[in-house]
Amino acid sequence: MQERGERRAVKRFLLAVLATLGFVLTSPIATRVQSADAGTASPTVKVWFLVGEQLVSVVRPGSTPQAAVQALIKGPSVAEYKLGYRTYVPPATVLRSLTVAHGEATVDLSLNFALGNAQSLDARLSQLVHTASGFDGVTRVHLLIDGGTAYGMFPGVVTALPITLEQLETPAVPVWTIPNPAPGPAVPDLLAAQRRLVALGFLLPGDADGKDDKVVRVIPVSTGKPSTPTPAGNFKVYAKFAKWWSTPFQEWLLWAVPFNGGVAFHEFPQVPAYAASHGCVRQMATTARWLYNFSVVGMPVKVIGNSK
Amino acid sequence: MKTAVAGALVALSAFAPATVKMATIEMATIEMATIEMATINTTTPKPAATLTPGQLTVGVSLPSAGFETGVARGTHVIYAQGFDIDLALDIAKRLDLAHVEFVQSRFGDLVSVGKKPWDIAVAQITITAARSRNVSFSRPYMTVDQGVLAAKALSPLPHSLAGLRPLQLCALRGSTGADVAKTRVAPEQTRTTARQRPHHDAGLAVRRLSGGYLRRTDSRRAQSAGPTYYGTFVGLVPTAEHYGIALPKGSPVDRPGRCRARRVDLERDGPTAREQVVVGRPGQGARAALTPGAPAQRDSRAS
Repeated sequence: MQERGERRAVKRFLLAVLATLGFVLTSPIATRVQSADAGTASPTVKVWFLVGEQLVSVVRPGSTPQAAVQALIKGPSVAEYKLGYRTYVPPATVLRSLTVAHGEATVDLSLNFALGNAQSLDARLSQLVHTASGFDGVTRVHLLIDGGTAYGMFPGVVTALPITLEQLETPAVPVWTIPNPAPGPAVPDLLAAQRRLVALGFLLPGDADGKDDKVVRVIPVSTGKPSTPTPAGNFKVYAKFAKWWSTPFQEWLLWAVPFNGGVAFHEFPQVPAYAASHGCVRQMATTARWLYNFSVVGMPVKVIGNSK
Repeated sequence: MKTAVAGALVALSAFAPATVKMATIEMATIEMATIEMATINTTTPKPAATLTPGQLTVGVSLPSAGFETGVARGTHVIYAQGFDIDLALDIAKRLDLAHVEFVQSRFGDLVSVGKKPWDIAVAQITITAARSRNVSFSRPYMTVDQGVLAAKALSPLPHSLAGLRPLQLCALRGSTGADVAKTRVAPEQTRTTARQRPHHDAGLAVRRLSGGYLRRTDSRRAQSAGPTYYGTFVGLVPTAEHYGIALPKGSPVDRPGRCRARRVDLERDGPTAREQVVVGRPGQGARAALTPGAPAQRDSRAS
């Protein structure tokens, strides 16, 4: 009965999102993960990973930039990984040296740090700069690759010069627009969607008539691809951004409604009929603004299942 | 069949003042089916004579997104990738040279008079009469036009050469883009960069120029996402320039008959390279040529 009561309380916000996967419902959020060592008296360093489209920090034992970058290379813990934390730094990366002088950290990494697809390169560079900048006095990070200068290896970022957080966090791409967005698919039968959710076990049998918890809209989406699935769980919308700059991927997310760290509902130019995102719930222009207006901060979001 | 627009930002300033509004780029038209590429007479039984026996030393001017990027310690390039790099590797293969060494150079040094520390230079070098007095060139391997980028905040966008004239233009000193800006657009408003610094690249240039941003070429993304990291593409100034591979005067590789044109099937040999150089926005009028027409009429379309 108690469960039923809770579910009634959220019925106005019950929303089914169909496509590659992803369904929305309830509950509290965990946007930060504390490592097992957090909260102890031991010194810790801050290391930056990604959840969805944004950077989030975790703490690790240590007190030096070297320890922080080593922890960065090591990647998220198993527990963090299960919660959707990802790193784009190749695990085989070798920290050849790291020195700090005059507010500038010079980080020399092996070549594999500079190889990969464009978005992955941008993301890992953001991780590195945030992590190495987390120390008193360090405001710039000079990246070396195998002791040499990287020319054009990180698209859009000049690594021949020291890099700053401000540089990465400043939106550098115009906000994209879709002049004539394609019309969305036909509005499906909401009652059929209601029954489908019942059949899948996401709603109780008594909800099949749609008189209690009610599907109000069915939205085609593209959620996290298998390597970066949309983390399942119960969350709440914690902010709304008409446009949200993704520092790691250097791109705009429009009509963003984040509910789990950097995981958000947002508009995106490409919404393929398969899971393709970094963890977010992509929508087409035809629905993203509607969901943005529909959402309120604190709105429960329940992600049921994810890409396999 | 011409099916793609390719380009590289080679003629603008990385150090332009904030008031600079325009930049020029070289836009290349790829013959998608075939491309003429300098290569070597493969009937020669012995490897070509080069500066270092058994090795082809290639002058490059990193970086240029899509064409040549990499890592260098001083002038010693320890890793390189891109269209130009693939081209040089293919030439070495046809020369029966097992080793290839890339040497980082300033662009201007590649085409200046004097002794060269390389056997060939591949760096999107437009063949000009002036440069031909200093170095020899292969047959053209790519045909390009000058493209024009607008600063991020510029509105309305110009759609004619006349529309460019009130604006401040920026181009790399000594480049063919600077020549076009000075001779065909607006002599008074053209600024050229003081010099080409080692870290000069298109990304920095556009960023400084327009708040724009450069990312690896991805035509599919460009098609769907609108403005890209190159900044807003305004149009082309048709120049039909030709890129060629530079060779030192008198180089053994430069002897008649040693270097001759050969048709290379890009479909077969270069799908990766082809993808790297497609930076335009096919289907969105990216190849539209700027006309000399009156700005008042044509620019009224701008948004």
